Amino acid sequence: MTQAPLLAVSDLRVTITANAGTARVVDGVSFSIAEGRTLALVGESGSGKSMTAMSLLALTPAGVQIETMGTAMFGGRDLLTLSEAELRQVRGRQIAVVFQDPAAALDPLMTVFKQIRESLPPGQRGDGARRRVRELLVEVGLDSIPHIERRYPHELSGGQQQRVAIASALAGNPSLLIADEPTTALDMTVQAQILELLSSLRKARRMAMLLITHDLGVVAAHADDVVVLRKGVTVEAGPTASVIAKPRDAYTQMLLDSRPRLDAVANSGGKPDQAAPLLSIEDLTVSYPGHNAFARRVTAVDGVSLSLPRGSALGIVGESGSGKSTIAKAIVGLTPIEGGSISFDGKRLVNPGSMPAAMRARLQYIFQDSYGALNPRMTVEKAIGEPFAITGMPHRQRRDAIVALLNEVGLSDTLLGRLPRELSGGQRQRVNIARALALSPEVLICDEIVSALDVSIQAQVIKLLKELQRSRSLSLLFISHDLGVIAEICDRVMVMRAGKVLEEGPVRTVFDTPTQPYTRGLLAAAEALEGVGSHPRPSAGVLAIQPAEALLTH
Amino acid sequence: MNPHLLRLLGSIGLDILRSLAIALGIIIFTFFVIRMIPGDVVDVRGVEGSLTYSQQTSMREDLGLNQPWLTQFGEWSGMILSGDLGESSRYNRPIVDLLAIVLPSTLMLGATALAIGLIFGISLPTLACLFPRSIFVGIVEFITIWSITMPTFSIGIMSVIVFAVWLDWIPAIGNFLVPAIILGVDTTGSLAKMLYEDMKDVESSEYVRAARAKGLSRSRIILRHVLPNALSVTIALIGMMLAGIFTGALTMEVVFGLPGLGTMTLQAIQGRDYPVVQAIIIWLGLAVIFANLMTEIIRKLVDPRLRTS
Repeated sequence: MTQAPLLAVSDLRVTITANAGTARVVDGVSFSIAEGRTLALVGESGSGKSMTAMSLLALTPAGVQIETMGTAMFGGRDLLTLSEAELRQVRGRQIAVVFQDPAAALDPLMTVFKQIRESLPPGQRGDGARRRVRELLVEVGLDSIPHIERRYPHELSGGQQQRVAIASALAGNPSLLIADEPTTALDMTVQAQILELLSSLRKARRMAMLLITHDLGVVAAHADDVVVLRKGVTVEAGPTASVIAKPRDAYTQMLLDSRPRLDAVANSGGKPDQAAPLLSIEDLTVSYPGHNAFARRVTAVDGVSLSLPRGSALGIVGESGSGKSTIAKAIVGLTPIEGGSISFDGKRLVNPGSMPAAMRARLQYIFQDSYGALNPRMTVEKAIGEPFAITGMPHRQRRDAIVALLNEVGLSDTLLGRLPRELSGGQRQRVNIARALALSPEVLICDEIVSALDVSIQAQVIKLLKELQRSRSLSLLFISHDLGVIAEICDRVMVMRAGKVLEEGPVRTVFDTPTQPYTRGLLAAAEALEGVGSHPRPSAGVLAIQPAEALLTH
Repeated sequence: MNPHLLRLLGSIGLDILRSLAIALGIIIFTFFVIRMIPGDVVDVRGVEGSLTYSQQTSMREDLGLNQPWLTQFGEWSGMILSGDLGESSRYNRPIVDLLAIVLPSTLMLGATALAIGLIFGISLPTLACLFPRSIFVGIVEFITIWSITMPTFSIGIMSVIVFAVWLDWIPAIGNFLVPAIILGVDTTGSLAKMLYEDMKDVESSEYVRAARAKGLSRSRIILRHVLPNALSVTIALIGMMLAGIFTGALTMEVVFGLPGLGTMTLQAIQGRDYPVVQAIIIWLGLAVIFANLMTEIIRKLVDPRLRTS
């Protein structure tokens, strides 16, 4: 197919100026997209992939000044030379954008109807507009939801919100759709559905798509061509099939290798001691107050039992709202329990919130948000040293202990004086792990600790956790929505939905022969996202992905 | 019926119930606090030397003051609820009549100040956002600093000196416009500051970026996305500002010699006219509750996320 490309970007350079200073974030990137094709920009955080796409429409985040060089030819014009008024004609009508987090990208005070109507070309009013909005809602599969036009964003699930955002992007009949990590903020089963929707819309409308993602699995399944970016520079570019099958660059290879694999076999070193579980939960129930004093309480965890033998790793999977994090919070007393019991090392914790300090030290918690979990004004040394300070270890010995911990989590002691904001995401999560290890705990509760990290960093942190589990014979309670990560780390897995345990067993048994339709749906979604590289599993191949979000919200 | 409307009405109904409960609390509180002050009306008159002991006893019986507190409270609250606030012990006139004389003046002053505050407090920051390089940004900043640093009573006294004494433009007693403007500017300043900052916050939100990606014009984005979202935050504070306007009006009346609620309160406190003080406390309390109820209802009309019931 040799035709003039729809968009031809050549030698794009972007310099941004913000409070922190000036930086060149995109340095000589070139690519072109033909009509109706999908090009993926892939890279980890800081690769400049979003900035590349957003600079085309001058849609930079607030407070950031950009300066662009190079050319971006679209419809005979260079986008980079257009004035704000001229760009406004392009935005929405010729090039539309779908953003990462639909909950943030929709105006909370506007109904679905108004959000979409706003994107229609000027001149469409009254019944015409009403009909057009309805058509768009049908196109994105939202027409079956009652009163959808009158609903507000907070009354929709994440997947439904993203569908509204997509409908609104399509309203101007764009010939190019920029999708900036359109599924990263969504649950796994929903991710697959949204990507399918985008692909089918693109085909039906003969629209081109610029897909920005960190996930090579998504690229493999949905993009014709791919550009791999690293620190603003093109590492590798070409047709997706050949790049993925035969990456020429070591970085691309590394990105491919670091993706957690569903068929991985976790190899926890220590032999789990089944006889005496270190941590056990019987019939745990936790509920939250409803919207107001008269509303019914919302049950988050509904009669869950589990046991964690010494030296084992138990994974808890489920989508948002399944209650997986609530269990973890209840164990350490961050949320009051309503029924059931929690026992640690044979002793029943009547009220985990008032756990004795000596026992608390044996049970540590690591959070998902590595930045939020560190005091922004405390250096690495102080953060890791705080547990020592609480237990009264003399200053003299503290420094050595901190350095030893840093080395154990693979960080250099040159970081001792750094503040959290001076660290990368991976470094921060390692600091959190080091701090959790300071008091030599026996149980580590890891609450989605790798889901905010880039894949390559994710792979490193997973490796570190596995090593630590072996060397310190830790027991892990590992919470994740990512089945691949669970497969890499855990020997047993528990699948949760709506506060209840659906099934529980050894990871390979559950993943290879799931007994519950919901688990099969999760696995199918994970495989659809994984794209290439995994062996097709007969059990999942025949299953269509269930419209899980329709079930979840009603 | 529209589920949105139903939920909205339910939630507003709850707010009204809650407001009524608070109003009841204020009435109970006022009654018992007044009873805790040693002495009663009869004592005050007795000390003034005009009553014998038997006269005092029969007067207490007439007024029902020899009854247990709970009985008194029952009668009194029944009276209050039927709108009768009792009699001024100083002027021997029904308090309702006195309020009817002073309230219009105070309400007029407060309402004018509020109107000035709302008109300029909303339009100035909006203009400053629409035209970020214009003089409006400077005006918002100036008026903000003015309202923070200049207390209304000191500006009031200075205005009397400058405009009434030196320039002789206004009468020293009984001028209405100047105190209304002073209070209005003060309200404008605090409202403009909050709204401007909220608008700046909203401008950097993701949905504003999404609105830009739709190809909307800047003015439409500011008026349809930024302003409503910022206002939904700021409105919550307007209820509290209303209470501030009222207290401000009370001092302004004293400074400018206006015959309003403020002047009456001052005289009632100085003259130990407890029934009047009691009535004013209840009136002000109810006014603040009402203002907060109104803002709560407006917020719910504006922000669907608050409509839970």
